[in-house]
Amino acid sequence: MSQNSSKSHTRVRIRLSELAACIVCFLFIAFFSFKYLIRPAADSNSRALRNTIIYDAVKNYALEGDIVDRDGALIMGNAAEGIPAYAPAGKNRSYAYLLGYYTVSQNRENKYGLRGSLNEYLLFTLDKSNKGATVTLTTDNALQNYAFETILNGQEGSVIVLDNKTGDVLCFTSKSNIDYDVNDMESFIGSDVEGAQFRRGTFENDPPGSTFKIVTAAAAIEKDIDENLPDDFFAYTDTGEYYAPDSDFVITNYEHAVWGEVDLEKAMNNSVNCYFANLGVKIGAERMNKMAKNLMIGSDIKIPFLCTIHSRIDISNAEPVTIAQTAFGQGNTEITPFHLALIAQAMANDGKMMQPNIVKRIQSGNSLLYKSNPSVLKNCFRAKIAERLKPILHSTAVGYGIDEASCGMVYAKTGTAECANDRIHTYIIGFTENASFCISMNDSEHSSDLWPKAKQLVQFINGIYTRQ
Amino acid sequence: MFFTKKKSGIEPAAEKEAVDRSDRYIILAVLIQVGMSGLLFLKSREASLNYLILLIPILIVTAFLGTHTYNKDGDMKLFFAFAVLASIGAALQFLVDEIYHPPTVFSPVKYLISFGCSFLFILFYKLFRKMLNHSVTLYLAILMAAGIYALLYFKGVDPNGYGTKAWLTVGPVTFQLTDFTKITALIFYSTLFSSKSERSTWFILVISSFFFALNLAGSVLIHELGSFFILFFLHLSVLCIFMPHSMAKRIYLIAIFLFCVMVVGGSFVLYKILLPQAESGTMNRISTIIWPVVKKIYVRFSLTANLNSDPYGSGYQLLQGKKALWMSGLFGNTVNFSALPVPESDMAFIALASAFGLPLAFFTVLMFLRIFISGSEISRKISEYDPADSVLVYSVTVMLFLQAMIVILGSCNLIPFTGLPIPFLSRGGTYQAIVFSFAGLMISLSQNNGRKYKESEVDPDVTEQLEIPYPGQDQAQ
Repeated sequence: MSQNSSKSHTRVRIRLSELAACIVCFLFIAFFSFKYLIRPAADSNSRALRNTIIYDAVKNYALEGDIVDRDGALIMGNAAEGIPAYAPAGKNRSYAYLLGYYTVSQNRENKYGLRGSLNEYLLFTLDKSNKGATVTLTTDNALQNYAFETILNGQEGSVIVLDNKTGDVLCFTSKSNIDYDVNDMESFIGSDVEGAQFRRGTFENDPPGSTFKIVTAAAAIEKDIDENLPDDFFAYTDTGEYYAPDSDFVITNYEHAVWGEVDLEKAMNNSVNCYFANLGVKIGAERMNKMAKNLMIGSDIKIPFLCTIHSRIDISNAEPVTIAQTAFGQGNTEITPFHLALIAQAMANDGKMMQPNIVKRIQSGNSLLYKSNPSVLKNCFRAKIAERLKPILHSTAVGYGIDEASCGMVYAKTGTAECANDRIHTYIIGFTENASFCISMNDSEHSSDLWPKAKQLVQFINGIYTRQ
Repeated sequence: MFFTKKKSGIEPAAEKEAVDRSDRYIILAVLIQVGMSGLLFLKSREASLNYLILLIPILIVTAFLGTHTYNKDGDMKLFFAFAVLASIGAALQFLVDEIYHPPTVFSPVKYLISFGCSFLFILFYKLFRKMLNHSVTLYLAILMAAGIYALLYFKGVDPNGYGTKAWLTVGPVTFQLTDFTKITALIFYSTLFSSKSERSTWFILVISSFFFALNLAGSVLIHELGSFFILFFLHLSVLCIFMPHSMAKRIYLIAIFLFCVMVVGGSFVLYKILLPQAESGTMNRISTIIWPVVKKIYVRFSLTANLNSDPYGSGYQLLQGKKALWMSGLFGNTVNFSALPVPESDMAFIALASAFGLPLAFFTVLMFLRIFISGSEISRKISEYDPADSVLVYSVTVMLFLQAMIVILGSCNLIPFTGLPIPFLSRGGTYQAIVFSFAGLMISLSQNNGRKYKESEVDPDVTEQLEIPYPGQDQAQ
């Protein structure tokens, strides 16, 4: 072997060693990027493992950050060495399902509600005093407590109030069939009552009942605007019974009432099922479906840091009887009370549905970690539709006793849904100039029970905006 | 003048015509060094202020040395890697003092003194390298290594309680003498492959094995396997790369590999045999000497296989490191995690990831890779005319890169963990001085496109005609 050949081999071996070094370094970087950065971001199991490790490491010194309302008033917090964060009396129950909990035991992450999804900030972003970030919610403590104590008053259900302009959730209180105290996790996880651990308002997908008549009415008005329909399109003679074409399924009004000659306003005021069943069939599945989709029924809506709400509608290829049932709020449609509040808000905003936000700001020391900004979630329909529907909904609200003199301009519609297991789910959705709301009672008899509750709620909401 | 390239008479015509934009690496290095102060400010104001004070000399040195290297056609990417790693290491050490409060405090003065030592080393290197061409240097290096181990065996101290006698105290100064065994290894291997002496393959294998065995015995006696680990890899790398192809070489390398496997396997068997004796305190003299080594090997390999085998004992350090890695994320941990043992030295890489985030930690790995590639390329160029310098620069490269990667991969529990400092990132006056000296040596040898000493010592026309004998060439033919 010549000297040059030997040198050449040496140079080749040096090159090979460079290649080996490159492979080792890139494999190391790729493996660790995947394990510690990419996978925890993409995979919930890996994220749970990461959170478990962090929680175990910090649980002895980390103090959970405060959660405050939009005015900075404490909801839950004041954690100190040896004292866990707690919610003062009243808020411990009115906020219970919203706040939830975050713990780790036996290498498993247990999380629920805002504390469950905000653990990165509340527990894992510590300031110099080892305290987590402060989370400011969009809610109003007084309204939240009032809604829980006075409006729900121990009944199973939820109250949701949204700011029309910003989409901020001013109030979201829930009550299930257990007495959940957020300071006592055992009161929640120790319960074996069926369905007790689901947050009313965002979980239960029930038929919307007569509140869906707003959607049917909006679709009909849209058809009228588009096609310049004759005046008698909205006229109907009610006999107390309605048979859809090619069907012997009878649709009746509430308490088998017979309303005679009715137009859209009278039908809405009195919640005439037969009128809306007929109107739905006249509008057609396509247009009904389009309006429902425009109002995001059938689409998931994400409430940042809280949850994603789901809904369902399917009338694309439906028989007239299904369309008729859907048109007055039964059929296959399923929706959550929170979504109904968003539909009311879209009506209030002349067709613009705002992105719902419940977390306003997250701050650690002087560092702003998160801030919500008002944004339009969807342009659902034209302003002209809202313009024509608002007077109808206002007269409906007045009919409920929510008069102008004591409450100002209020627009509302009730709904009674027949659910599985013979359960009756009642709603009232509505809006004022400033806020939209939905009161939902999961197991009640009559939606008319909600009229005085809605009036009380509206008066309280008006008080808040007057103070501002 | 900064960044103004002087005319170099040795550049090929084509290179002269090309615009050299490698000066941008100086600017980039300065930007990163300044940027580190901003990053540090976000983590700790106190650490940031301390860093700012050290930043002034760092910037001055970067500007002057960078310009000098640029003017001398040095490897600017290599310079960039060194400059950036030095500043990241300093920033990390200031932050470590603020977060972890280790037993020693990072001293910027020591840091600058280490830097000064490396300057002196480079200044005298021209004289020093002449030694590499004398056969007697080979034996001198062996004697020096033996002397160091003997001195440590009888006079070595263990100031940090690591269980090794790797330090020597002279008056008020304590320094890690095992770091000097690396210099003796450099001298040894460079001399061994020097072009001025013709050596047979057998001679190379026998004498290098003797040197290797000497280091092994010395390391066992002073219970310092970390440094030996690096010398072991250096031994294999140098022989593998620079020895010409031959059957003897192949058999030797395979034998060494099998020997390693047997040592690990044997340690496991010996551990099981000696454990009852160790527990009952009935070990004989030989057992007493080998027991710590056997136990260390057993524990290190067992931990790599199962980190939870001893979570509150020998596995605690790595387990905390693993936690820190999970917390690191993109921008460092946000939970004030400070339960990381030895963050100033062995776990410096984990501390870096935990403090500044994984991307910066990965960036340092890339910088070490840059050092290896540049060093290897310089070695390739120099190998054309001076095997001794080529072996020297490759050995230095291997020592920097391998030590970094062995400790980084070990601290991440991908390989058995070895308690060694990470070049540039860890503190320690003696080691810093050696690392800076190595860095200076590599930069110096990269100058004039890897022809620094060729141009100054040998007439280029004569070199073209010279048939320089290559060590081991006779046997390989």
